[in-house]
Amino acid sequence: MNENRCIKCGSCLRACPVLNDPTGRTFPGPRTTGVDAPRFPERLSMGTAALMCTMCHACEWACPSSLPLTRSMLLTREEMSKAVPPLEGHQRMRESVRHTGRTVDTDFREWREEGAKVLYFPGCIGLGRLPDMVRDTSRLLDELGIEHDISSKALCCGSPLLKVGALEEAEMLHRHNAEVLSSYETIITSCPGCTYHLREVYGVRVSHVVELLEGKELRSEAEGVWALQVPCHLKRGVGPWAAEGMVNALEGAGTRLSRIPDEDSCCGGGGGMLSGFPGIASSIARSKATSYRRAAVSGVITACPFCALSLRRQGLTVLDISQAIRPRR
Amino acid sequence: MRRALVIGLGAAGLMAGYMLARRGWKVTALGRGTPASAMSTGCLRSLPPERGWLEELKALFLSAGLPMSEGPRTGVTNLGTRFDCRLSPSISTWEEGSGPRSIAVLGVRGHPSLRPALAASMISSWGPRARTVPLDLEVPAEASLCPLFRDDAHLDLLVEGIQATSEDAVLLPALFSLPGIGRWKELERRSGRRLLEAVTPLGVPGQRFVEVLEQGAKRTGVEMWPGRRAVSLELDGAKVTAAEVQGGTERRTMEVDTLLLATGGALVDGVLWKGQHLEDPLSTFVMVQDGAEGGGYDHVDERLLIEGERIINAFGAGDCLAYSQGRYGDGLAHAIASAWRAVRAMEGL
Ligand SMILES: Cc1cc2nc3c(=O)[nH]c(=O)nc-3n(C[C@H](O)[C@H](O)[C@H](O)COP(=O)(O)OP(=O)(O)OC[C@H]3O[C@@H](n4cnc5c(N)ncnc54)[C@H](O)[C@@H]3O)c2cc1C
Ligand code: SF4
Ligand code: SF4
Repeated sequence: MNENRCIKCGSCLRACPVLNDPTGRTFPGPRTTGVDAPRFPERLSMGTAALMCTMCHACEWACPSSLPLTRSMLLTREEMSKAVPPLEGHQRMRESVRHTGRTVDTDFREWREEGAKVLYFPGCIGLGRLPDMVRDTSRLLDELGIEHDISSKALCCGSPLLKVGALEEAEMLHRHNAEVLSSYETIITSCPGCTYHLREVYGVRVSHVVELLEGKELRSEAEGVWALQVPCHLKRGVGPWAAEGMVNALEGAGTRLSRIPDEDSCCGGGGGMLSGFPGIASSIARSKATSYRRAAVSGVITACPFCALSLRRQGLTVLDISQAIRPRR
Repeated sequence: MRRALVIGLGAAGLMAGYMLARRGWKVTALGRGTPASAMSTGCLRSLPPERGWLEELKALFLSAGLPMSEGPRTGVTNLGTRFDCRLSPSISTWEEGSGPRSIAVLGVRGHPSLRPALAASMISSWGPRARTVPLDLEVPAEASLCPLFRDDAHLDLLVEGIQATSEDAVLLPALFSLPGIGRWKELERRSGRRLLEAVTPLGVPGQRFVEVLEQGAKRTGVEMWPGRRAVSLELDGAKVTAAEVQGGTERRTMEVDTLLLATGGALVDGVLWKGQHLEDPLSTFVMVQDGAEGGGYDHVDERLLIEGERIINAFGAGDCLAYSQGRYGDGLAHAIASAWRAVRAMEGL
C-alpha cells in the first residue's frame, strides 16, 4: 500500500470542514499536521492551531493513499502537549476527568447495577448533557428485550483525552474501565466516538445502538419530515455499514426523511473543538443549521451525543435515533 | 437478474456500473479514497475510434446541468497554458476558430487556484492578449475557494470584477461544485460577458466529473458502497465466488456472480509497485509488467486471466488494465472506452 506516500494531491484539504469554514482558515490542515509534522518536528512550532481539527475522518476518507491521517494527527497532538500549554477549555476538561472521571460532570442518578450481561455505556456527553437521550435509549433497549446495566463505575472511555494529547490519563481510564467492563459480555453505546474507541483501543465486544436495529421491526415516533445528521465517527469511524444501518432503520420504520447533500458532513463538535475552539465549532454548526433550515424539515435525527448537542445549540430540534423509533409490537 | 460487483469508484467503475444497470443488471459498486478521475481536469484529450459510449456520456452530463462539447476544443489551464482536447465541459473551452483575442484573468491574488499574474503572462506568450484582474481576498493557499463563493456577497464581488473588464473573455478559477453549477449561469447572465473556467487539475472540475457519473449510477439503481476496500477474493477453480470487503472497523464477505475490477493505477493503490515490479494487490490475476505495453492486469478483451487460463467471470476496465498506445492525458477516455468494452463482453457472457 501507499501508507508512507503522500502524493500531495490536496484531496484531504478539499474535504476538511475546518479549512472550508471561514473561521478555520488558520488551521494548518491535515497534510501539515498529519504528514509533515511527524517527519519535520520543527513544524510542531505551529502551536495550538494544530488542534483546530474535529477528528471527523473526512481527510482520511478522501486520501487516495490510505494515509492514517487522524491517527497521525493524534500523535502530533501528544508530542505537542509536551511542549505547548493546553488550551483553557482542554484544561477544564482534563480537570473534570481528574475530579469526576468524566469530561463533564453528571446529575444522572438512575444507575442500573443489577449484574446484567449487557452494559449500556451512554458516554460523558450523554450522561452530562443529554439525560433525555440516556433514558430513551435505556427504554428502547428494554423494549427490545435487552436487559442491561447502566454503571456509575464506568467512566470516560478516554477518547476525548487522546484528542487533547493526554495519553497517560487516557491509559489510566482504560485500566479502570477494563476492569468494570470485564464483568459484561457486550457493551452498547450511544456515542460512535466511544464505540470506535472501545472497539479499536480496548478491543471489547461493543455495538452502537444503530447496529442493534438491523433486521428489527420498527415504527416511527417522529411526526413530519426529518433530515439526518450522519455522525462522522459513525460513518467514517465505526464504518459506512453502520451509517447505512441508521438510514435503513429509519426508512424501515416509515420515518419521512429529507436527504440533504451535506447530511454526512461534520457538525463541528468533535475532536475537543467544543471545549477548545467553541467559536469554530459553532460556526461549522451554524452553517449546517442553515442547510437544515433551508430544507424546511421538522428537525434532525442523529445518532451521536456530540452532534445532538452542537445542533441543539443552534436552536434546531434534534432527536437521537432512540427517540425517533420504537419496536413494533 | 444478472448481478455484478464493481470494485473502484472512478470513471471506469462508475461508467461501467451505470451502463450495466441501464442494461438490466443488479450492480453493487464499492471503492475507497479519491479516485484519480477526481484529480483530473474532467476533459478528454483524445477520443478513440470506437465511440459507442459517447452519446450515453454526453447525455449524462447534459442532464446534470454540465453540458460537454465535442470536437477539437481549446481552453486555458489555471497556469495559463493552452489546453487542447476533444471533449470538455462547454464552460471551459472554445471551438476551433472562435477563441477570444483578449482575455482578462480574474483570480484571487496569491491563491494557487488561478494565479492571475502568472496565467496572464503565460497566455500572452502563446496567443490572446491578456491582462490581470486580481481579487484581494484572504484565503490561505491550503483552503479551497469554493465555499466562499456560495454566498451572495462574494458573487456580487465577482460580477463587479467581471463588469470592470473590457476583454473578449474573462478567465475565472474553477469555483463551483456540481450542486452549485447554477451559479455559473447566474454569473454569465448578470455580467453579460463571455466567461471561461480555467481547465484545472486537482480541483472542482475532476470532482464534478466523478459526481456526474455517480449521480447517473445512483439514479439507475446501482447500489453504492463508498468508503470500502476489497481486500481479497475467493476463487473456485477459474471462477471468483466472493470478495472480502473492509469498511471502517467492519469486514464483510460479498458473494460474487460477475466481477469488474476498475481499481485504477499505482497512484491509487489499484496496482502495486514492489521495487521494479508490478503486483496485484488482490494476489489473484496475471499482471503485465511496465514495458512497451503500459503495465497492469493482463487481459483478453477486458477479461482478466489467472495463470494463463481465461477466467470466466472477472473483467477489468480503466487504469488497472494493461494497455498500449496510451498517451499522457488519455486516461479518462481509456477508462470510459474500456468500461464500455467490458460491459459489452459481460453482456455477451
Ligand atoms: C493530476 C491528474 C490529472 C489528470 N488529468 C487528466 C486529464 O486531463 N484527462 C484525462 O483524460 N486523464 C487525466 N488523468 C488521468 C485519469 O484521471 C485517469 O487515467 C483515470 O481517471 C483513471 O480512471 P479509473 O477509473 O481507471 O481509476 P481511478 O479514477 O483511479 O479509480 C479507481 C478507484 O478504485 C479505488 N480502489 C483501488 N483498489 C481498490 C480496492 N481494492 N477496493 C476498493 N477500491 C479500490 C481507488 O482508490 C480509486 O478510488 C489525470 C490524472 C491525474 C492524477
Ligand atoms: S479529521 Fe476532519 S477536521 Fe481534522 S483535519 Fe481531517 S478533515 Fe479536517
Ligand atoms: S489526501 Fe493523502 S495523499 Fe493527498 S495530499 Fe492529503 S495526505 Fe497527501
